[in-house]
Amino acid sequence: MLVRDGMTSPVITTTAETKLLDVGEILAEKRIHQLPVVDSQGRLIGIITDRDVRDALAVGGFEKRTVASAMTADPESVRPQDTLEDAILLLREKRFGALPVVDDQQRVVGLFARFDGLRVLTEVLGVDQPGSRLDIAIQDSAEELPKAIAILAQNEVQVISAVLSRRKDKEGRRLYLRLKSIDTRPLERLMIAAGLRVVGPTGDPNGTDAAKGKH
Amino acid sequence: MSTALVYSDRFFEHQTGPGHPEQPARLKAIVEQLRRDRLWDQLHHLTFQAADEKWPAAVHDAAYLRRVRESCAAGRPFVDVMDSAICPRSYEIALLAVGGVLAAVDAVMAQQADNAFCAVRPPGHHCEFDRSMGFCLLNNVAVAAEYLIQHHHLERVAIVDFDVHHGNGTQHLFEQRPDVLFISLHEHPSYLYPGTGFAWEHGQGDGEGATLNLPLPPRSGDDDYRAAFVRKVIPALERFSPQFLLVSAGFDAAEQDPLAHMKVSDAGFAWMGRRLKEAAEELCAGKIVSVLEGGYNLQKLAVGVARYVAVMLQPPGQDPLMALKAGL
Repeated sequence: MLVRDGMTSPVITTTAETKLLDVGEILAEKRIHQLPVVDSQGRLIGIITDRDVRDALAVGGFEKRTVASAMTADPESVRPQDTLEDAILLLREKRFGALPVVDDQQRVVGLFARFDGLRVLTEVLGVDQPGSRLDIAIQDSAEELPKAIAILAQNEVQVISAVLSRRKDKEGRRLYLRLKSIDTRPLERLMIAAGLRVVGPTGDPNGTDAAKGKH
Repeated sequence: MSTALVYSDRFFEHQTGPGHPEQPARLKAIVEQLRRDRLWDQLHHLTFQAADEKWPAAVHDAAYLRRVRESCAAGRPFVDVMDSAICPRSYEIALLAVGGVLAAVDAVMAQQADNAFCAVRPPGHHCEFDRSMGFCLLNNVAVAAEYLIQHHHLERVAIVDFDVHHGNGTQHLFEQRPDVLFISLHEHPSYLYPGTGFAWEHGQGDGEGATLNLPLPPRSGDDDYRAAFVRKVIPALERFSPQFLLVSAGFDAAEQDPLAHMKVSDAGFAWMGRRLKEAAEELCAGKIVSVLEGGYNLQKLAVGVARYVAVMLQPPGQDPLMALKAGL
């Protein structure tokens, strides 16, 4: 996925000559935290945040001050064709609230905020889709992953998302499955029959009693 | 004191196929248990017909109703999702289930019965405005709430849903409205289908505050449900002061239910039933209609329903204060 798939666009911008007072009002009214600052051609020249406005308010002469005096000039930006990793890692690394998105002429075409990152992550994981979770412990991914994937391919249940954790504990890594069904037992049974360890969602060792056919 | 029962052998005609958890045997087990416990003959058996389609259409999209009807007629194996298995008669039987619930509501409103239990299938609370989910074809309880408002001109109807799964359909149908209070107790959405019903979902717009979600962690039992009732459910009902109480009564929070991970006992279901009945007596002249939702361990389901129905048959509590103390 690319920045263009997750960015907010179009986006409200402001200019260097705008009064801070007006910017403060826009931010409050739209309940947003920053505005890209553009020149007369719409090219990115800065970013102004609600924090900048608050700080400026603390010193005198606020009514007369313009964006130019409080903005961060030449801020970091991303392009629509950059990857989501570019944007997410940059946001995290620099602790930015948002990144302006610019085209090859430096014109602002969108904004990629922390919230956009959260939204994309939510969609990738599918946690906004109705479904059930099933967790499989993976000790040996070379052996167990193909088994699990082969079972998913049997189409007993539709898969919303499948995520293999990077972290590892004594039970190994986790394959987190999100399934489009209220009843995960058919898949659970196949997994257990193939020698895989179903450990969740609730952390039951060796699958739920139900899947083992106790009732 | 009389408790009405809505039940028909015709509910068996909704066939979901071998191995499907929402199977006709669920109702068979309930009926046998009611007979075994000598409750069957104490119940006032209602006669009823399939609902006029205008009532499901009061909460569901017309195109969705057409899709269910046509999918059944065409002999398709499911509607919208594989969970929602159907047979050619399923739509007709789903309308019959709604008709039964509306008959129960009418009987209680007309004081022909004090309260009612509806042993119906298919269940309803997952069904959304325009799509089927989780075995549910028509949202029985939601239709009943709308019917109470439109046909019986009530202004405040409360729904308590103790099925182990979140009643997403019911919530979404009413979450922007102040006239229907929806309270759902369920296994936390991170651990169980459908993955909605977080505590922070509490209604929208005019309906802000008229949705109450009480997600409970896996392996919660009687004490946890009791605490949620005493601290949240009953006070919310008292604040709202409903004119009628509907219950989405699912028995899949039972220990050993194959689709969930809770540990409610038969006595736990009876206790919830008693507390809801007392709340109805205190707030709305005892008008409470309970509608079967889930419950997939046949034995636990049957005993849970029987204990719950036995409570409904009991005469009203003489002293509300004593009843309240018994709850604490």
